Amino acid sequence: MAEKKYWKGLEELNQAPESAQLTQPEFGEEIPVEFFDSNNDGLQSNRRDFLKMMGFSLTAATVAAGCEIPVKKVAPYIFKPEDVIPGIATWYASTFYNGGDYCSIIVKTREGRPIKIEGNRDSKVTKGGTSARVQASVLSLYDTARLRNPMVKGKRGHDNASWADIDKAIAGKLAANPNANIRIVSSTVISPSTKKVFAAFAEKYPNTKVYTYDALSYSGMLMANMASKGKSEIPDYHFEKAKVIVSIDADFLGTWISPIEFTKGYVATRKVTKEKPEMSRHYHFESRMSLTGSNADYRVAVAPSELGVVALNLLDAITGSSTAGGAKLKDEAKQARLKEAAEWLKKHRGESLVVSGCNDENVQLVVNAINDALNNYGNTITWDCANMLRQGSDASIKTLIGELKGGQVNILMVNDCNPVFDHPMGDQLAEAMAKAEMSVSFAGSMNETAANCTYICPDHHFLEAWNDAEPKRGLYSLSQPTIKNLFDTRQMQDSLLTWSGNAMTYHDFMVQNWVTGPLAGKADAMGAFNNALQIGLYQPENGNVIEAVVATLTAATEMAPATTDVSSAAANILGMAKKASGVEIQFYESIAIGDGRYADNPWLHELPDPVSKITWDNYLNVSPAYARENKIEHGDVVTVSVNGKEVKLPVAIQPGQANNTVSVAVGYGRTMVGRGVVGVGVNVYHLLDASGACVNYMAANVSITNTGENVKLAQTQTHFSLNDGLGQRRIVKETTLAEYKKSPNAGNEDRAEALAWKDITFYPDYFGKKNGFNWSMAIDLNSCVGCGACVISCNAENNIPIVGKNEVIRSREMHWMRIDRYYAGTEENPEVVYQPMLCQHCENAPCENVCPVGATNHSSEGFNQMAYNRCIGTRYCANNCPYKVRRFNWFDYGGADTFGTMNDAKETENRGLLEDLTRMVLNPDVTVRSRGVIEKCSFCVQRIQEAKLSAKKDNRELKDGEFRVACQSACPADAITFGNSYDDTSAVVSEAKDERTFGILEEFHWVPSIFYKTKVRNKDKADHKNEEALDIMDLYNYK
Amino acid sequence: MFVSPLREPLIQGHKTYKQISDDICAPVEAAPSKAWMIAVTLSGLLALTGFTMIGITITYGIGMWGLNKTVGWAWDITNFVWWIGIGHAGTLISAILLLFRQKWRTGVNRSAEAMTIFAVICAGLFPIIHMGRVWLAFFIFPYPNTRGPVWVNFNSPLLWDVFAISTYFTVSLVFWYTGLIPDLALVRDRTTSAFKKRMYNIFSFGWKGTAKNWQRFESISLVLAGLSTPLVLSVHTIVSFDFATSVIPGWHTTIFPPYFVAGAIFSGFAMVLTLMLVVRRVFNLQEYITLAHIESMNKVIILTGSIVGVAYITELFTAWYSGNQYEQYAFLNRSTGPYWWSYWGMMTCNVVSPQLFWIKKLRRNIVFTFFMSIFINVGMWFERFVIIVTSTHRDFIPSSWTMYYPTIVEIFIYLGTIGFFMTLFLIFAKVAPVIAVAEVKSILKTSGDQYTGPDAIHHNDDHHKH
Repeated sequence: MAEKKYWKGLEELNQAPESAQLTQPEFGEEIPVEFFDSNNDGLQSNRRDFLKMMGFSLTAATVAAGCEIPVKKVAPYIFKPEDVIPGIATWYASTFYNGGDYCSIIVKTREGRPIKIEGNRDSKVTKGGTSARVQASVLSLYDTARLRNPMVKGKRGHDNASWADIDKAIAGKLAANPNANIRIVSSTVISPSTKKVFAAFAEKYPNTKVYTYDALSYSGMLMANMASKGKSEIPDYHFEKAKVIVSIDADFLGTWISPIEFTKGYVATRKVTKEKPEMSRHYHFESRMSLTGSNADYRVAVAPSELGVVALNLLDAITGSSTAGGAKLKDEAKQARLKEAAEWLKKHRGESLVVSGCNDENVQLVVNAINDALNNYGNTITWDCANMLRQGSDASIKTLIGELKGGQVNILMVNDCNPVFDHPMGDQLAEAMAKAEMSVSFAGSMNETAANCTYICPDHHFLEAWNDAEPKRGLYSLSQPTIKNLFDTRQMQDSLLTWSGNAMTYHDFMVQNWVTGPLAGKADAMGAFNNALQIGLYQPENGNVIEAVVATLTAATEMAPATTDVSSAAANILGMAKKASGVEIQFYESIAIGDGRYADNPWLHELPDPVSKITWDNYLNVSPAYARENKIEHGDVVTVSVNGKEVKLPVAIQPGQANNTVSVAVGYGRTMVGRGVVGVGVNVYHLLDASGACVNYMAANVSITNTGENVKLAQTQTHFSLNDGLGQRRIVKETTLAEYKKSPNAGNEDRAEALAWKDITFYPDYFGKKNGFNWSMAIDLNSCVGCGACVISCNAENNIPIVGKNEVIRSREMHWMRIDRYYAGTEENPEVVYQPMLCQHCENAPCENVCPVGATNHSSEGFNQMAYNRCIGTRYCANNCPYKVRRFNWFDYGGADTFGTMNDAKETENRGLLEDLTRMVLNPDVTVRSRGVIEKCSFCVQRIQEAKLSAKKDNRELKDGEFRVACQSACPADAITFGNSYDDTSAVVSEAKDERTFGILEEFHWVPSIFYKTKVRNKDKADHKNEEALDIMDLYNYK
Repeated sequence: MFVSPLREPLIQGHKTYKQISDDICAPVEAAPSKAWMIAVTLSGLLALTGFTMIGITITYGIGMWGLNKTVGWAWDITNFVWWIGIGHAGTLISAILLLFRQKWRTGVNRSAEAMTIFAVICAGLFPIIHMGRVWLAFFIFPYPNTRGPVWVNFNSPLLWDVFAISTYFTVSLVFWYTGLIPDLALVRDRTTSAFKKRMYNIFSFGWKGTAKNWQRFESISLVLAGLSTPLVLSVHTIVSFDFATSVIPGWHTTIFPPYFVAGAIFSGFAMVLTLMLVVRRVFNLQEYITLAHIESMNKVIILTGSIVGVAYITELFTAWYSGNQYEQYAFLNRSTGPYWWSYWGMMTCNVVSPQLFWIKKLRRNIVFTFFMSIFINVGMWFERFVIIVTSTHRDFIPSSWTMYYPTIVEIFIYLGTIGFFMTLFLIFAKVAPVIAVAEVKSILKTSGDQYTGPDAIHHNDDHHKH
């Protein structure tokens, strides 16, 4: 049946054409939805699209035109230097040596600028390890406080001068009186050629004497070795051969003599595997909580005056003698532990090591006797490659002051040291220096001693200089310039050669020295030298038989041992121990600042102390019990009175500090040092007692009074226990060696549950595809000693800005890599564990899905990556990161020039990276992040990319271990393994398969790409306290 | 229309239609009072201070705030959620109470909607200024671009916020303004000033009050009410997703959507009360915003406050029952950690004190209600602070635990938004009728006191029959 139709008019009924049109939809055009489909080449625009596009373009043009883009001029090479290829790094082998710190290094230069230092893995001494100080030294090259030309003392401070004027004045003075009494005061010199320069100078001016002193002295040890071994030298310690290590206050992983070398050796004894479940046992006696003490299996907190008693008791227990005369540690448990250490030593004769950090001849004599009794000499302690890094004598400065006061010194020269600041009698020296007719400093930047000198002849930075070094007898290394000197400076050796009338440059002098010296017998001596220079090393197999290049002026002469009898030493020790009463203090060297010579380096100031995690300050460590008894709070400023002198210091409450003892780091409170780092901390050198034969780094009868003032300490970690009161958080896993022997997954049993869920996902083949790369890292908690080298290496590699003290107080440090430190057990003597923490590059990263603009996302190679340009800074990712490794640029820390450099006007310290000179240290491969963006560890993607490209160019596969990420390469303990987890043959896969391996918070299924390996302690299960909470938060005012 | 005799009259004073117009338009027509001038100056200055502080933040960086590596959000997002929550009452009253045929909403809906708009403006400010690079804020919009194109991350709750809030704001604004049109026309018709006439004519879109006008007005109101209804639930649900979809203990909670919505209504009503109690007094509108209105709102407050209280306790139970140490610690830390005062402040203000409204006398006590409304808003601010700051400041890895302290810049930005809000509200109250005249007139015959209640003189026809 036909449908019934109603019609409204005749037109409709008759289907007039106009009417048909009217019944069509008025706006019935098809909307071209495929307009934005890029595949559609035939663009079909219409009126609406035109209007849309016009509106959009207008708005976009307005937005774009509204922002002025700063114009920056670049200068291309007109004549390209032969060996510089823009974008390609050039590496030079060289040597880092700075006041006793030695490291064989390779230096990365980009477009002629040194920007990164790595360890030289061919070195027999440091074996590729580095320290935070070594890593940071590249920044000091670009220090704005460096002197730019020679200076002469005027009426008001020093005036600029020219080298010609200076040479005229000094050479004229010397020529006028060749028999003048000249004193060169220097820190330990390990360069044979430099010693020869001194000798040449002394030949020309016969009344020249070189006084060597070390600001942090090993004089007592040298004296003891002279007395008992007939050698005024430090022997070669073989930590790698020791099965039992007893340290009496020797911080050999942090600061003692050659920590990089010792860390390598020590960690070699701590790497446990299923196949070889053995490790050394480490007992540590000390009063403060040092880095080494915190790594010990058993640490015994004793007063500084008891350290000698510890040594005597050990000796007695081992030899059966009774030198201690009944003196014991006051605490019975501690005495028992001491006995236990002696038993272990006795069981391991010839494969044990006892070391002491006391600058006291008596204690060192006893330690030598212990090692003798244990037959360690010739086994774990040898003399063939004796250590040359500390040669200073504490008598030298005192002698010098006497001579200066007596007017017996005409010319004083100061090389690589700052005794006015760092010697206890510095103020007397400053006064006495005025009596010399002329004083010359070779300081590269102004310091307290140079300020008192008539002339300052600034030395090159070591990266600009030629040099050689003999850190251990018979093992040489070389330094070469990696950049032309930035300023009008001159190498100290060149100055001395010039003044002694030698026309040779130091480079030629050194080459001649080598060609006629150690390389004399070679057919092609010059070629051999160049080879040595290329690898930075000369380490002949029979190194020990080669004669030293030149006899040092201050070198020890060998003598028959005077005594092996320790009875008088024992009497001295016991006398000292008896005298000590009241609160005792110990002065120590900090990991970062050393004797004060690193105080110009903001990277090091911002490196948290491994134990206290405090930056930008020195402070008085007190024990929690002492603080509680005396109502002292964290950050309270106290007046400390030692040896009749007073200083004001903030208090840091330090678990593990022996009760009734306090400790403070030296080297802080420099007054003449670069802008931004001046006035950091307090100088305490003048509190030291230098009246004895050796500088005494301890004192008793200290009085401490609270001033009532409280300051904030810039501490990067304020919570110390993994036990939150509800139980131990399973973030760090630990076990004991005995447990590990029973079962390789001891302490890690609960991982099975997390693993069972690991491969569960909504996405098909998400974990199944295994082609290409998937980067992963393994960190061995048993190897990591917490030294912080990786932190600074990461800073240098990734252009991480310095934020300054106030910003650290506000918890805004920018470090991509940090080392978390946790305590367990008792506050008197806690167990410590270090955990390097960086972006875990989770496969199911919580940060990735919350970013509204997709600025952080997952790469096909398994990184969690940041697109800085896309980041708008909502910080949602940082909030949602369970590991809290994301860092936000609260201000323009990096000087990325968003709007010029607008920072909070109150901030002064964070200027580091805003100076043009300092910015030369930036790695051009890594973006400098602007204000308002998030940043974090990138797994050194630039290094991975570089290695991949070079493999691609060679048309081969990337090999495992072909490149190293910055933290990995810096680590002196080889705690970090990095590689492709899709490559079943890679080292990181075998690490990942180990029973000790676990991921942090793995049970939450974020699937981190970083694995940790359980810490194994060589201690009895009964003593293992890792589940116990350390409840001292009541003493910290972080509320 | 039938009205239960138990209902209290909602318009008092035997008002005629003319009187209603006169009373409600009076503040608009009168010259600005001294009190109004002082109030607007003070709040304007406060707003100006806030904007200066925002300027400082944008000039120097987010570092001007007290945030740090562990606590990435604090007052910024607390204020954002707080204001968004306050902005919930308007739509609830206009849309949902309309569906429930609550006549008392006519007395308060205009102001509540205005408050919503202003609160959402204040809220929307925070997600923008909290960005590290605010000049790139347009990145959060999915617009076609030449960079690939790069799209936004549709997985991110923060992006959902952008859509949820902009939709909510747009719909609320249109709803509010549509409702204003007849009243603006009323003011236009009453005014004698040619300038005012002209302006109000423009803003009332030439409203003539014809039957067609009213018919269209009614249908658009209905459509908008329909659109708004789901929005009341969706906006705060999505805001709660910012936290609920994350992994941080204390944030990662499925209870958040209903809990946040209830909390939002709770705080929105409290804010409406704060404003209305002042407005009815200052503008002499006690006969239109009666004790019956106040009591009704207090009843909503008891309900939502109790929902919120139950949610708090459920969270504690869940933490305990989960066996998840991190979750348990998050709640232990809330109640006993260094920010215990904010947790107990929240508990007192939001859970304990509203229960006093069970007592009828207190429910009808204006002074008590006023203080209670302030209390609730303080408590709800604490709630967001507790959720945001105490969850992040101590999360999984104890090494990163730290404290957050606000800076003066942050504090003044917050106070500045209050000043801004007050400024906008004061201007609104001066230029437009604070009560929807047309809607009030529509209930006069059923809820005027001359027609219902003890003082009634006219009685409904069907009432007469008995």
